[in-house]
Amino acid sequence: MINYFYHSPVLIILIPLISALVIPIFGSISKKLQHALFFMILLTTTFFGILMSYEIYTVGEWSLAIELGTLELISGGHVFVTHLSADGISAISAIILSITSVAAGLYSYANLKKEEGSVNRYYILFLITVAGTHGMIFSADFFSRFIWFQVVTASTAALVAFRKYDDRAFEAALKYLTLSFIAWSFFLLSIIIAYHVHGEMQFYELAESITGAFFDRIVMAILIVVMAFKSGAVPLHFVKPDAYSRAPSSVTAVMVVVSQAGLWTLFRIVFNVFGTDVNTYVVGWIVIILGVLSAFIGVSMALVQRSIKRLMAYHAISQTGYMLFGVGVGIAVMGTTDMGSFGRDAMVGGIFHIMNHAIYKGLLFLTAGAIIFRTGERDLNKMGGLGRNMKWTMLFFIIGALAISGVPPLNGFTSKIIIYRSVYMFNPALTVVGMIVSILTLASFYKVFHSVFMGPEREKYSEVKEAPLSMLIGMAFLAGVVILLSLFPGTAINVFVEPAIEALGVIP
Amino acid sequence: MILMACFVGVIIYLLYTMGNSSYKETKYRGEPFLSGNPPIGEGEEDQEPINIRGDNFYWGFITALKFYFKPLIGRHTGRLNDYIFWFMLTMLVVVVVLALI
Repeated sequence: MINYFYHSPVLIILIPLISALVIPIFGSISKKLQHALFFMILLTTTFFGILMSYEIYTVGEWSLAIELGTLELISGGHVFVTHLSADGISAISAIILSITSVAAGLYSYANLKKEEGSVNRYYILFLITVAGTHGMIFSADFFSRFIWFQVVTASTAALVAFRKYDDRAFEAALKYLTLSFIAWSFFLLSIIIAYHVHGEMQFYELAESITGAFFDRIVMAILIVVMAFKSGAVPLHFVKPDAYSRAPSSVTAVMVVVSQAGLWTLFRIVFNVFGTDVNTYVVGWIVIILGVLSAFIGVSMALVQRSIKRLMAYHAISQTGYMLFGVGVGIAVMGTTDMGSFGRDAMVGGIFHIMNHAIYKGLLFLTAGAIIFRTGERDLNKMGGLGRNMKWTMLFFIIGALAISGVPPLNGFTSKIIIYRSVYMFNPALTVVGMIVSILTLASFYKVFHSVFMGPEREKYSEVKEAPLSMLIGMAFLAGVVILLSLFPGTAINVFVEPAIEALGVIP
Repeated sequence: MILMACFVGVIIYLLYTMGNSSYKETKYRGEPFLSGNPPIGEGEEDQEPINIRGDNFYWGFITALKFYFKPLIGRHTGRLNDYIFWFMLTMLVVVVVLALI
């Protein structure tokens, strides 16, 4: 009898991965059947994600070591083992990815019907991205994580270039691919150094032999920069607006979660691997500076954008800033008595903001996609008056826009207020930056709201219809999650955020 | 409570005295124009041209802070070489800082 709880991390990775191989067969039978199967796979993955989270919440964390094979070398045999870890960090990230991918799966039905030619590669690449992101999240050794990062980079780049007729999408994918592989080369370099010095790649075993010596600090520095790039922090963000704006919107919603895998990895590296063996105050300030730059420059660039999706992409960068400076404060005070008070709260705010951001940013990208789907236009200067014909889309946009701007009582407000309060104790200037960024966020979303939905009816859009039902259901699902997180933030923090804090070993 | 009311009253009075004394009520003055709604009593004109578009929305704010926005936009060239430059520069700075400390 299989213990589904125990094997849920393996099943969450394997189900979409194996399904990616068989799903094209169903396309030749019926397109509807193929999409229904695609959706069922995402639902099944979500089911195992919930099962695993429940087990972690009630029983506690566990880890798995899976032997992949043996390579015979001249010096003897070398066993390849991948380590999977099921803890609070894996649970929260698996849940976020599952919710977003289910919404994107629902939403994409109408989008794919409009696409010419075969859509098999969409399903294959999407499922590989989901499996790969879960793989990144669960793997507890550097080499496995490196492999999964490669898989996801390749699949998301291919998804960005999904529309063959869009040459800008190809350009964006090429930039994304090139820069990502440069970053992963550095990642590989750092794990080679770590392996050479310590003879270990597994996080917890490596943590025991880390001393904070010169090469340890070099490894840490490289890993921080690579993960900051992955999460889209300024000044490593340039490729994100290009890729986010050209990918299909269902893909962009998932790409936001994929980029958060960079943040989770950064937290793992800093808290679980290096801990207090390095100068955490300096590391914390590096993360805080990246966060402040991301928050401020991201929102400034959003303010001057004309393309709706580019504007939202810059907001994704800006929101990453909040997460970084929340967690940066936690890192800076790690190992001190302050960690027991505001340091821990800053971590709670930062991690809760990751969860909130994935949901409302996903929702906003889906609304942008619905608008582009119906109008064929992404330039804000050429839109207007759509609120008359796209009332539901407008409502979902308002929910997402108010949440991201931190307007009470929505979930964005809860996580931001926790961050403001806690980082104020560390440095009041950070709270001021956060508040200014929030005001500018609201200003730029008002610009989108007015440009798209308000104003007189445009003649060329007089025949525009509301978004198709599947898109509306996808958006409604995420809007519902935003409302749930807004109504029950305490429950969300207890069930998802607290176990994640525990997994990072943050002293209460 | 009375003190608070007096304080608010003084603030309102100060704001009132800062106003333009030559202001006169004329047609369209003080009416909202952002939403593109027809002016009261009118309605037959083409409303599209008078609606403010995305690019012009914060024109005043962005023009006033040109010294900040111009170089910022200028750095976003869209060229891959520049992206790689910023990546390498950040890598160098962070590695040097952490190696030295």
